[in-house]
Amino acid sequence: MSRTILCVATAAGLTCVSLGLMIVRYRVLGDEVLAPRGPGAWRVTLLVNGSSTSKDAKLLTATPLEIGHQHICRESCRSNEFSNKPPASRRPERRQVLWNYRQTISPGRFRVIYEFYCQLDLHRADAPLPHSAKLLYRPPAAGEFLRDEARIECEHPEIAALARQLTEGTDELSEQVEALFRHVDQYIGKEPAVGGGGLSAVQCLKNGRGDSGAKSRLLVALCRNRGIPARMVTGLMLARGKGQEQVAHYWVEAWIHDHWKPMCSFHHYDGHVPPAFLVFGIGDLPIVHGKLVRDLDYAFLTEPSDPKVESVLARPSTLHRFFRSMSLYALPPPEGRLVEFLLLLPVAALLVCVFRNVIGMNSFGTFAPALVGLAFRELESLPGILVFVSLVLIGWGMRRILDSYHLLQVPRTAFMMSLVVVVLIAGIVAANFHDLPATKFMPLFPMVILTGMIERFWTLEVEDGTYASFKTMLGSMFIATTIALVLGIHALVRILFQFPEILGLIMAGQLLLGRYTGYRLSELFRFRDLSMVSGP
Amino acid sequence: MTWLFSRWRRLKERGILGINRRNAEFILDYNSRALYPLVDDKLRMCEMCRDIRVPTPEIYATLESHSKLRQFPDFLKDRPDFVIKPNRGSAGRGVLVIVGRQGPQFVRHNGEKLTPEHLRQHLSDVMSGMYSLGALPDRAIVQQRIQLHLAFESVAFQGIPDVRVVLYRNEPAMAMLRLPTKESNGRANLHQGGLGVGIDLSSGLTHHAVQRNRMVLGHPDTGIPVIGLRVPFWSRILEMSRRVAEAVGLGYLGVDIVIDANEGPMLLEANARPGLAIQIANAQGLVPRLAEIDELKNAPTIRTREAKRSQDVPLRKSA
Repeated sequence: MSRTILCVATAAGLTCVSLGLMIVRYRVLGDEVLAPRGPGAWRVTLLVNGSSTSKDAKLLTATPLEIGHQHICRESCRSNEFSNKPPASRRPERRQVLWNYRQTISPGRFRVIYEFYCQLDLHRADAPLPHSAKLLYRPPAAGEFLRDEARIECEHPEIAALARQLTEGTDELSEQVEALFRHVDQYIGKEPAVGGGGLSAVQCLKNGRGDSGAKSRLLVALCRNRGIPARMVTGLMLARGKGQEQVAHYWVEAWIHDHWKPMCSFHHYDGHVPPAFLVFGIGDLPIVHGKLVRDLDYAFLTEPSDPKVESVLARPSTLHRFFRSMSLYALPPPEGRLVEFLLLLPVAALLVCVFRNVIGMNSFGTFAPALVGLAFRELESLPGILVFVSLVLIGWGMRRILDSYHLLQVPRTAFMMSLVVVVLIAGIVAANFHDLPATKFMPLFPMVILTGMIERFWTLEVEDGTYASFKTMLGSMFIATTIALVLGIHALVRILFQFPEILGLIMAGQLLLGRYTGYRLSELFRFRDLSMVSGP
Repeated sequence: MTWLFSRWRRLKERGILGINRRNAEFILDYNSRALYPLVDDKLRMCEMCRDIRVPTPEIYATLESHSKLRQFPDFLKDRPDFVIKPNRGSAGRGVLVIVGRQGPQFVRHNGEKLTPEHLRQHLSDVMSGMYSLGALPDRAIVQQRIQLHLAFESVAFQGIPDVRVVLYRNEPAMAMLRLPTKESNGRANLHQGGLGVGIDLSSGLTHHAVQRNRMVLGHPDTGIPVIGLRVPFWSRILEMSRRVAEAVGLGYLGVDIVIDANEGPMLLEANARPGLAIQIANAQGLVPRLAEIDELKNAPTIRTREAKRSQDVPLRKSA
């Protein structure tokens, strides 16, 4: 068998396996392939409206936590007016999306949409916590969750008097908490939540009514007054129905003996809350807050994900359970984003193959342009590539000067990298002076690539001339820009995540390109004189 | 778009070998990766050539560590001219030709003067791997400088021409003479602006010339015609190339030979991935010739229809 046939056969095999797996998975899981489905799966949309007063406006929107019984996936952020930075995986106890106003848009009305799917384990509300979330439920430190804080006035005389009165005659902590909960649950009336900060604990007590936030603050204040560590939990109640519009929901956790006891005095849950209480964070947190914005308003839309199939999926088959457990939707958000990035790498590599072997474009390093393109796709800032080119050119100038020092290669490269860092820091400081968001254009990721490119640019310029070095630079940046644009297509990322089997197709394409023996497009130009030589 | 397909078709008809096909069907299929270190290592090649009695330029010294840099003025003191090159270099990178001395200074082939400090720095860069394949630490070679042969005096600018012979299955497939120019800074490298002059394999006469892929008739610096030149020692050059190819064991190989005024042809280096510009220099495609060699060797592997067809088409400039 010739190598080309071997290659084609392997590519065909890979294609068949990939397509076969895609079809089988789709037949078994149905629409669950496209998004998480089934009992406990929800699609939640947060819409924020408002007006910005400056181009420096910023917004922070809270996002749900990845903890034991609740799993978040397919997070997406959209806004014409704001760019966004996804939640940092380093802080599992508080995830927020940071929104920065786009410099190209004039201040005015804006809309921000944050959407995600969540999968709740309805049968195991106390499912084991991932390591990263365990610190959320650690025992309180001495004095923690016992002091006054904004809108929780636990030392207020009226609060103190009520707490004392309600717990009189009992020393048992659980009984004290029980008594306090019962009072707030039964004797403090319920109100719907409206915009604004909400009532404080004292106001709620005086009014005798309050929304979930106000009642929770009152219960926390009463507990703390009795020396029982207590805290609020900010979240969202996933209500059944055809699609519910709502705002944040608050409940309380009190530390009794060796665990945090959940209580919702608004919906009368004592000792447990339903899994449908989606946790956004510990504490009295705003869902949305911002800087240089006004008229902020928000609402959630919660929808069970494809409720029609719930009954069908009540007893899923073994294969169904297997595919579901293998699904990328089962990954926590940070891992999900990592997989998204990893899935894009082979696509970028395939594009590099096309540029190199089909078009015949030269670049500095084989995959360096792919990594640069990926870095700028992450930043959603294509002009950053121009900043990158400028840095290479500045670096090239510095490299020419450095040449007269006659340094050994490795220390010289190290020195060059330090110089590049100095230029970057100076650029960031200068940008800040002019109120420009430098971090949008200067990623740290391709720093090493940048230094390598400067060295190669200089070497090529010295050995093959300025034309050759600039031509190669142009080629590198063209490839990087194309990769950034292609990989920036959200639909592509979504499809790859839904059907990771596409990797098999990409690998088949790479195999076929590996035995591509046709001319490169650049060769049609290179051999143009030969093509003009004609026969008789 | 049509011109693209028509140009593609015409190149195919002419039997022009593209880089993808060269890599996939010749280099990957015929050149074992295990043999690359041999051709990429000039010192090993020299040893091998000594065994098969193919002359190579004399090696005066090799430097392996930076500590030896202190001694280099001593071993160069009796050498008025020499060449410094990286052991594992490619495409002429890192080659420094010293043609004489002026006091303590060294004079390059282009007249530039270098201090001993400069020379030491260059040797250090070479040993650091700056000019070597994979940028790995390397050895610096100090080698005999080739004297320009009388036949090339009028067509070489500040450098030494060399003959590139591409061999397929140990048979010469195509050859060209590479002439240094002012633009190439005295180097016989085509991508740096050197002149590529096609050589008729049977006679050793030059028949076509290009610079930067465009046809020329004379040397751009001297104005002397470069077509119709007879390459001296032609049959010896072909014989040497065959012996080197057989000894190296690569099926598709480029061999670079220089002609010294006193000692005749000498092997400069071999290349496991010879470029395709030789086709432009000869105004001929390689595919028909490679197919011919396959037939000669009684093991046709690329007797494709288009190769046969292009064999029958004589090359002629369109009117």
